[in-house]
Amino acid sequence: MKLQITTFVLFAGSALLGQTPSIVSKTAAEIRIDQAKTAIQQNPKKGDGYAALANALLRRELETSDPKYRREAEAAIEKALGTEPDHFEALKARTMILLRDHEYSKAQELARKLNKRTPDDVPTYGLVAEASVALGDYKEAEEAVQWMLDMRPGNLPAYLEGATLREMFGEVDGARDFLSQAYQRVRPEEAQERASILLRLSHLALLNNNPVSADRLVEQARKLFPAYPAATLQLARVRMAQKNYAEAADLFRLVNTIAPRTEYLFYLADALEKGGNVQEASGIFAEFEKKAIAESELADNANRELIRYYLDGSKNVPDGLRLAKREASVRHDSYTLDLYAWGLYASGRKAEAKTQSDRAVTVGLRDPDVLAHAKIIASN
Amino acid sequence: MQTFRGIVAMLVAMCLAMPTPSFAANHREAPITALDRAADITDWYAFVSYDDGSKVTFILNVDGLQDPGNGPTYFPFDPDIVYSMKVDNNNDAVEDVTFEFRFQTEIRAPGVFTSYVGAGSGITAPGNAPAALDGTAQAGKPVVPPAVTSLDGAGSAGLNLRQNYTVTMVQGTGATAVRTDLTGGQKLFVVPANIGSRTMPNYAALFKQGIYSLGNGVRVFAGTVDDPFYIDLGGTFDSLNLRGMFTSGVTGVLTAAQDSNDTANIAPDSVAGSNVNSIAIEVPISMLVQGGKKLPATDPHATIGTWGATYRPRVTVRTAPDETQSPTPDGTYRQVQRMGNPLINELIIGVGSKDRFSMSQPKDDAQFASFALDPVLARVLNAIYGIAIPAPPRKDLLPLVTYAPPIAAVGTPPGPVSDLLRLNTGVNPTAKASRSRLGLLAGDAAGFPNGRRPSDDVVDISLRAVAGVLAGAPFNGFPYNALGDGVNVNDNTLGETFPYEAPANSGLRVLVPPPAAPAPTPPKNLGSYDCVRNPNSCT
Repeated sequence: MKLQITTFVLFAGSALLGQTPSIVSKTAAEIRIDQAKTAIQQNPKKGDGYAALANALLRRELETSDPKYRREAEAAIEKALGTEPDHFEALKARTMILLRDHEYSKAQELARKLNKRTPDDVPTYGLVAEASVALGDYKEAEEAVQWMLDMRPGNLPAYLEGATLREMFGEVDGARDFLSQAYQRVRPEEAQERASILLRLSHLALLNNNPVSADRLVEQARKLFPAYPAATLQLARVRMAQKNYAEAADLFRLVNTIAPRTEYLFYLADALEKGGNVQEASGIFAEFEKKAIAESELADNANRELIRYYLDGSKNVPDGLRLAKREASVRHDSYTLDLYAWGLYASGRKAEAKTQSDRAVTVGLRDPDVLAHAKIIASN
Repeated sequence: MQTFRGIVAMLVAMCLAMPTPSFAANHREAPITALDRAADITDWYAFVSYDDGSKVTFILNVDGLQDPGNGPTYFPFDPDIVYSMKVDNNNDAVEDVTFEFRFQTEIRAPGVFTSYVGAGSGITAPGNAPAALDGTAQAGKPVVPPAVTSLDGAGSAGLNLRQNYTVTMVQGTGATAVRTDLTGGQKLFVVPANIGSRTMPNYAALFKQGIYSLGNGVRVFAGTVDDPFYIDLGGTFDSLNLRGMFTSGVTGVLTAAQDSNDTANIAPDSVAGSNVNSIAIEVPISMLVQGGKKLPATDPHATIGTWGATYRPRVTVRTAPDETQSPTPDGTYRQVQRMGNPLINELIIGVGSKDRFSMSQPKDDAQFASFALDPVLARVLNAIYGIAIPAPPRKDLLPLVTYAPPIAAVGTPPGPVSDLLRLNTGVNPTAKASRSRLGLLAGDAAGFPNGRRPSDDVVDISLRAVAGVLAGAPFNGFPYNALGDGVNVNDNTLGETFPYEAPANSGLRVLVPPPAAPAPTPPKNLGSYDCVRNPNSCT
């Protein structure tokens, strides 16, 4: 297995450097980037080209998980808005960046404005929904997605956003149905988008305690869009579910090499620890904690993982609770409320923990960690 | 003209009940309905029945601009759609009474290549007809059924594709609504398209067969009819490149003689010769208003708000059935379109909001008020014709947003801003001889915007209203009160009895090309109108 992983590392690495083995062809995002650049050359004083470039770069970020594309997209948006301050597509792209930067309140505010400005633009409802889900405003998210479904029955973004909501509402089979519908609507040349749907289906398979199916779906995604960091990440999660901690650790290590994020260190350490490599895990945890604390005040942070790190095993309950409380003051989604409840419980504030836990689970989410916490809190 | 000015003064003085700013019927006016023509409401009519002042007739027309000869399937109603007619009788812009129509399709001869076929008393295979694939001799066997002379039973064999429908009255909304089947066990058949004289030698008789009495004074009709709407679509949507010059000397302005002639067109009617699918119901007023009886026009409860809507089944975010949702369309169906006043969506609502408008509820219309307060169309008139227009906010143009005089009686609760076609059921119908295409603007109290009859010229009325004729001086005189598209009447004679429409045009009819009209000329500045009224004075 090590050999396989190494091979994958080499393959992924070379792909990222533009040296993909065998056939080298441009991805859908790269093609769009080229097209947008041509459009800019033809009309440098129009915002359309820059907005298209921003969207293409954001798409490229999805393909590579490389945040540099997000920053480049931001620059393109600045140019678009410099030529046309109200450019609708540029503002939508800006909303996407806010979402990826975890600036959910700002994203929600901008998405609402755009929605009010052009209520018939279906994808804008998706932006409202995404921001609202992240903030825990599920009613607003549901209304937005229902508009999407009503306005253009069968549209792809509606199924994707709807699947997210169905999962949040505990309707895993319904989410799978929406994703299946979405998959059928993606054009074949949009390999990354199709692969991303397969990964989401894999995630749902894990929720349904079906790691075999989850594994198969990841493999399909990897074949469809090789060197896809998101696929590596999902594969690692599948391996965790299969209790194949060694391989999971390799994969987490790999994805953190390709597209470093602080939370990946947490997952890596967790896999190492569960696999019995306690010493290395300890070192990685320490590295994770240091980095997570450093970015804790930023919008894009690893606070959730840091809270878990502090609370699980009671490593640092006071800081865990403090962080969880702060997070809950910003957003009230099920995951955040669950961690807040868990922090309260760990601090002995069981009644308050029960209140927050009830809020977390009442939406319907079937996440194993959330449900496990709720069960413990309820039994005490 | 003095009468007109008087009416205008009354309207302005009595404030908000204004004709809807609009130009044409709602044929494919929004992206979503442009893609879904079966659910596309072209027109909505509500009026006190001409021949029975104790009843109201509602007409919901959908799927417009049908080419009468467009076989083999023509234009059936869509069984997936719920077609609804809604009535608010307590001024809250929420339906209190709804009539739902649902259709079913029968394919009676699945091997036949066309939906309708027939000739004479039927045609059998001649002696030289070759044997069938299995070797069976065909000579003498029936090939073409008899001509279609009936919607059911003998004479109906040629209706290969036949539709029937149900009518349900819904009182209230949501889970507590009371639903009543009005069909009384009758099978109600749809009047098909008028295929041609061979297939349907007496189409007028079929048209009449499609009128059903359901008891309790209710009559219904559903079928293909001649589209009663009339407009110069091409001129209107070519950036108001209205045909002309009219003899007035200016495009888009009618002479007094032209304006007063409700029987002749001086510009092409783009809808002429085309058909539309129509659903009509005639209902005793007692079933619609509070109190259960016809009330005098001065009674605050006499005025109802009406609109039509179409629905399709919806995919919902939540998979589980929601028991709190109504089994009626507002819960488990998505609204595709709604229409109260003519052409609000077509000419007032911005392109980026048209679908949202179509799918929203009238009670929530305050969200669209900005479109009416400074309509782009008025600014286009200002730019193209050079005429002054009232400054925004155009409260004179708030399109029938409330229950208010002169339609509703003084003292009627205004209710929320909402696009409803309001009808004072206490106003008796105007006799044919006195009826005016300009409705209320011409002193015909039973015409638009007090409800809408098929003969009302909502294009001219709306054009004038948008230009400012209801805003008081200086907008309430000439030329504002003479604007028009030059199409004053429908091409076919409309019925004077239920369903008040004309039978469908025959598939054999050749769509007549528009009458030759002079090429549009650059409009003159309407500030100088001596030559319009006195063409001889023009230089």
